[in-house]
Amino acid sequence: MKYISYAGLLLLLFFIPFISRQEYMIHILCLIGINVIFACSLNAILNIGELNLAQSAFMGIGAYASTVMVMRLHLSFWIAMPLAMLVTSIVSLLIGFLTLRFKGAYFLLFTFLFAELMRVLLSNFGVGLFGGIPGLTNIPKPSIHIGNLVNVDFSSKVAFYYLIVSLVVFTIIVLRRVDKSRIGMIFTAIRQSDVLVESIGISTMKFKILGCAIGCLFAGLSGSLYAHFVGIITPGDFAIHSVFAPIAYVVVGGIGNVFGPVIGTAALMMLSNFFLRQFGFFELLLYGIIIVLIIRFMPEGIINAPRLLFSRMRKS
Amino acid sequence: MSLLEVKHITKRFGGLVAVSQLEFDVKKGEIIGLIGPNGAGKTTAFNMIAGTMRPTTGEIRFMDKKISNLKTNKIAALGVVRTFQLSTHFGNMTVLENVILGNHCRAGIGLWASLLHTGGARNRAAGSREEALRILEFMGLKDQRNELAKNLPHGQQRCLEVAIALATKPTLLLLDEPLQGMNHEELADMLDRIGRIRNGGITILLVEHNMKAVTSTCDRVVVLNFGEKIAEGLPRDVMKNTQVIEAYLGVEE
Amino acid sequence: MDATILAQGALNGVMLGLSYALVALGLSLIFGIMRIVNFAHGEMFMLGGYITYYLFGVYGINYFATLMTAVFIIGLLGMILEKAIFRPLTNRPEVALTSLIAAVGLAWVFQMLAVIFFGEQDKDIPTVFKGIIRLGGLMITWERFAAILIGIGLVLLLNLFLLKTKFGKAIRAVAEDKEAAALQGIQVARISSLSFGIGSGLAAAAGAIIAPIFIVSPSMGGEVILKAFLVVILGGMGSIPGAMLGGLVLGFLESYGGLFFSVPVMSVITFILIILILIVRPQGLLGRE
Repeated sequence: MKYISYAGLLLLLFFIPFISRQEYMIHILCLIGINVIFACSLNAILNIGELNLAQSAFMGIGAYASTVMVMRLHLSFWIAMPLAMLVTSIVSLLIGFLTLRFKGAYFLLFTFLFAELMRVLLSNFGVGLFGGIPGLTNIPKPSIHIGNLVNVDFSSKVAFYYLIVSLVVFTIIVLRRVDKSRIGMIFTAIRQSDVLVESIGISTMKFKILGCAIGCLFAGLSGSLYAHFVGIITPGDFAIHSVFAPIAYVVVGGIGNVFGPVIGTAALMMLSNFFLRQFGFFELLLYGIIIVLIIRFMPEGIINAPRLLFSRMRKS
Repeated sequence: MSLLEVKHITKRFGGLVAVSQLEFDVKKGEIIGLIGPNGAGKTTAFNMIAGTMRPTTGEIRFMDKKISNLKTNKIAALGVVRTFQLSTHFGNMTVLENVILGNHCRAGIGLWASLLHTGGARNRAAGSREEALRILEFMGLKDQRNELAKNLPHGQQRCLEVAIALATKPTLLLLDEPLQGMNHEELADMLDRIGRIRNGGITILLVEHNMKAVTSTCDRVVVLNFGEKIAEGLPRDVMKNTQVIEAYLGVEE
Repeated sequence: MDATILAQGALNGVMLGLSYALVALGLSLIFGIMRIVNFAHGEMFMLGGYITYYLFGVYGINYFATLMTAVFIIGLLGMILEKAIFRPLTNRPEVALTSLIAAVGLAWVFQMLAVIFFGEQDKDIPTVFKGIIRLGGLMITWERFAAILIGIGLVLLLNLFLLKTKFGKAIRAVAEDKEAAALQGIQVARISSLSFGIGSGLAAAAGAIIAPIFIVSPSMGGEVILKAFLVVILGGMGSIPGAMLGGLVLGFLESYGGLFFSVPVMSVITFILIILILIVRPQGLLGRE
């Protein structure tokens, strides 16, 4: 039954560029797609019970890695993107190994420091490579040339749209697989009681590092896509404040389930674009309020609400 | 040879000595009670055996292997598994899932196998599930298997916690105040189960305040006061020991 | 290097250190009772600064009255936050994560509200204690000296409260063992409320002390929570002497370090230093295990 609805959704997404030729709509959908991947990566880490304020910084690592590989090392985007994902994941392994051994609040502090550190490093060091505070511009778009047969030019948003949609689907499939596996079960358990997980013979450290590596793989992906889609990246783009809206997306959608961030991101970004934008600064305030209210009153998020409602009904 | 050897362990916190030169053995198949008034150091001693804390001096050996310098999860993997005094379970997961997780370290499901959902992984997962159901049946929780753990009444939560520990197939089971907060019926059930767990081949070390339970269930008892061992032996002998009586004077059961 | 600069630097270090210690003590108090790390704690510091700006700076109300008002109002705010948001979270699973998210969300909300209501511009508060003290050949400003005296006074007050009063002893009992304290008849909910209030009040006091000497800005909360964390890391969570020592070390590092290194380099050094300290001694320099 649900496979029919998935197929239907995919079909709808496939046909959107034919239905609406509006460039703006496609552009928004692309940005939503990139943010969905990022939100999923954030969710992967929240899933193990840790809040990573540096998640945007990891997106930045992916963005800069991908850009540098294409612009300075002259690699093809199709090689740079997976490599950027790998680089981001490896950096997270290192940082995770150093910092995940500490309690949640200390880890939070370290992510805070790391995010700041990244911004400072990218702004002040290796200016020739990273462009300093103004960042890097004119980032080349990807292209596909196979002889004279296939010639796809990504300067049109439509091509990007299909690429991003495919990658979103890929992200969801992979993360869903992890969710449903024994690994996902252990992640959830760690989130609820890491002390108990340790006492039943499982190394929480090992799984936390794994969770981080998986999450940051996709943070890197979203970064790479962002860089080549938008064409300009600066260190300020990936500073700490940029992680708050995504936290709201994930919290609203529901932590733990891969569809949570998908729904939360889509819903809030649509709301933001067609309604909240006009409130300017208040929009940022709103995200903070949403985060607090949801975590206080509906911490399971939208996606889990039916399940818990059902259980509560059965209880009475 | 003893299963567990606690060799002269001392625990200092800054200037405070919580446990001093504690020494005792646990033989295979025994039920040992660790008792003493509040603040006697039982919890600290218990934590050191379970690996939550490291002794300042002295060592603890399990099956002739030093465990006092190992992390909790390594000690659990070796077969020494503890329960907790305060409610500790996976609240938002079902009772069955809780116990299946307990079995994970014995199920032998590899990470990649699990991700790729291989036939081998699925078989082992099914095996875990059956084992979990068996344990739930034993603990009287089979009917609650699809309930969320946080929705269980207190007594059943305590049973669940023991079930999770049993799923790890322990050699030595450390029970931290397993009877706390239970009514008479639940208490009797739990004591009966503890006996049956031992008969199944698992050695048990428990910390308890309930004296009647300790006397009826434990083979031997170790009494602590102010961090030192003041008596050891059969429960009825220890209860007559003047030092022990003095230590407990004024403490309600 | 001029002796006056060294002396002023030392005084700066002590003053900064004391204020960070006060904030850290508030954080420790809350953690000790509720096992929650209040990431929004820095905003209490910031609000204390703004209250001082408006009451003392704009309306000219007596400084000490302002200080007490700030402590009282923010203390009350802390108690409200505890009752409305944090206490309900402690009764649910996953409390470690949800409380972190809630605190981070709150910090964000307060910072945004500050920008909306107070404006993004830094604000200056007139000097409270004017004048210079001359000691031998050294010249020290009164304002820093007075700040240190007030800070020390507050720490001593806190110490007295925790050691001698009924509530103070109850707080220590709950921090030690919640279950045992409840069994002895202590109302843990009231103690949680009180500690959150006192902790927040301490942060507000630190804000009120520092604000006239430096500037007031919406982001000062975010900066200080980091420092408070570092103090806790250095000195260990829950230890008053630890917080004092950690605060002083940090204060001196910042005061003298700022003379030699640029801000970016300090960030890198800080990050590496903290990781090293925690790897070697996870409980901090003075903390218990």
